[in-house]
Amino acid sequence: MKKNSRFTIVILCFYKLKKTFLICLNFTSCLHLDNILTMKKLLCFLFFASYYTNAQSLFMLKTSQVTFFAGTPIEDIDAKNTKSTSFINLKTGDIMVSIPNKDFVFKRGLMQEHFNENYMESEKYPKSTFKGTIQNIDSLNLQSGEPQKIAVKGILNMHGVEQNQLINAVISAQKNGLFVESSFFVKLEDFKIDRPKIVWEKLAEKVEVKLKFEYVPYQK
Amino acid sequence: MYRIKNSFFIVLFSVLGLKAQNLDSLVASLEPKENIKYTDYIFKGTKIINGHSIECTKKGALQLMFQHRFSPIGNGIKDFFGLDGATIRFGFDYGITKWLSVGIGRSTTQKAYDGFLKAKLFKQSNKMPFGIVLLGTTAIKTDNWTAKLEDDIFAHRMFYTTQLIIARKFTERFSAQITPTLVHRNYVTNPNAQNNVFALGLGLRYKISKRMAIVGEYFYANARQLEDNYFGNTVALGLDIETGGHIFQLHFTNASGMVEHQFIGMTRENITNGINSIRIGFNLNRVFTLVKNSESSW
Repeated sequence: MKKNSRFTIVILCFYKLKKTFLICLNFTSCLHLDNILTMKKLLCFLFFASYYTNAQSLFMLKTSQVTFFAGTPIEDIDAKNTKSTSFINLKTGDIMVSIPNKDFVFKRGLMQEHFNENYMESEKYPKSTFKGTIQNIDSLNLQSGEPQKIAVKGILNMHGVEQNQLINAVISAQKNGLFVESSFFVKLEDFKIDRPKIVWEKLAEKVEVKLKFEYVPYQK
Repeated sequence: MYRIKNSFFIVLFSVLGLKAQNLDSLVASLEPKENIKYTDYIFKGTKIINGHSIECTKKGALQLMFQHRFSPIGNGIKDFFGLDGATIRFGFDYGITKWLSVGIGRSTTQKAYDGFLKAKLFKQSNKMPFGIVLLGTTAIKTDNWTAKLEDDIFAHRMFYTTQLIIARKFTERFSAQITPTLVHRNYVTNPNAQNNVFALGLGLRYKISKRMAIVGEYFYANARQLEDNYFGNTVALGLDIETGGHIFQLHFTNASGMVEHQFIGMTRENITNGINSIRIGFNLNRVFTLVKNSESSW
């Protein structure tokens, strides 16, 4: 949300209002509105609200990068995914993320096979989702241009298990949208992903997940 | 009048409509739609037991394979259920591209060297009911020549196999494969034996857990094509154990050779002889990633 774009909206409002104001003069009696100002205010609010909701509070994911590190000092097990889908509603603070599990790319093809076949069971559980709300949405001041810390509380659904998670992230306004960055840990045991002891690849107990999401305003 | 009323309602509904819009459905509407959904990992190993499976070595991966077949278990404890007499094959496979892999190997049987090319033609998907792989194997026997001495020329020591591997993963646990095979031997001693041997293979896999599967394999070649004392039935039953980076394949089979032309058409023990034909064997695979996938870096 930038100052100049907000300014444009106000100008647009006035332009529209000028027209409606003139028409309204004729129809106030029909609508049983004694006060023209009430009508004017209402229209102004509705218009602005619709514009606000439409263009500025709903953001969709443009480019994304989800990486995780599940290795140990002995063996690096990491993967990257650029096929996520996500939306942020800045008005309500709602965030929804969906990550297709099959699109995690590993350095070693065999690890990718094990990830899909043995750990994530991607045929059975094709995607991981997160649905949450930014807790401090009201105190967010994106106009300042400074990156803002956010705490997102929600439900992470992975491997068929739903878990409450509080994820800390940093959000900042960009030239044409939003940039969200986060890093958090997921405990495999919580999601019923078993780590067999005889396996040569040693899996970490906690997996570090990193996100880099670039959002743009959503237009239909 | 209508115009103002309409515009009023349009504005009103656009506000209400957007408020009601669900992020879930928005996300669902924009998730990438896959037109073709491929089915992967039909078998665990690149070999079912004796013969190749539809799986190829992954791109950039080098697979080291140790295969052992022991003597028939019929002698019991005397030769420790055949473990005293081992024939081996060791080999390397490498995935050049996603669809092409190559391999070389060396066997005790016939002191043979073999090489193969394995090309993925079709992958199983929602549009294609089964995957198809083409396999070509060439082998050379370097053991002492036992037939007529004047026949001992280089070309007579060569064996070729072509296989069309057709496989389907029916469920998450169950996969099946049929393998029409043509084995060409450049030299046969018996005048009734054929240079070209046609055979048909059947392979089955049933996963009993995430990392273990029961596999079965059968090759049939009409014995009239073969030389005397050789049988056209090769049976194998085994257990695949995957331990991350390694695959152990333990099995029972009546074949001692581990190259196509050996276990198809050169099986000496008929399976009907029971324990006097059945051997213990194992394949041990280890995969090393030589070229890492660059798309995955952080």
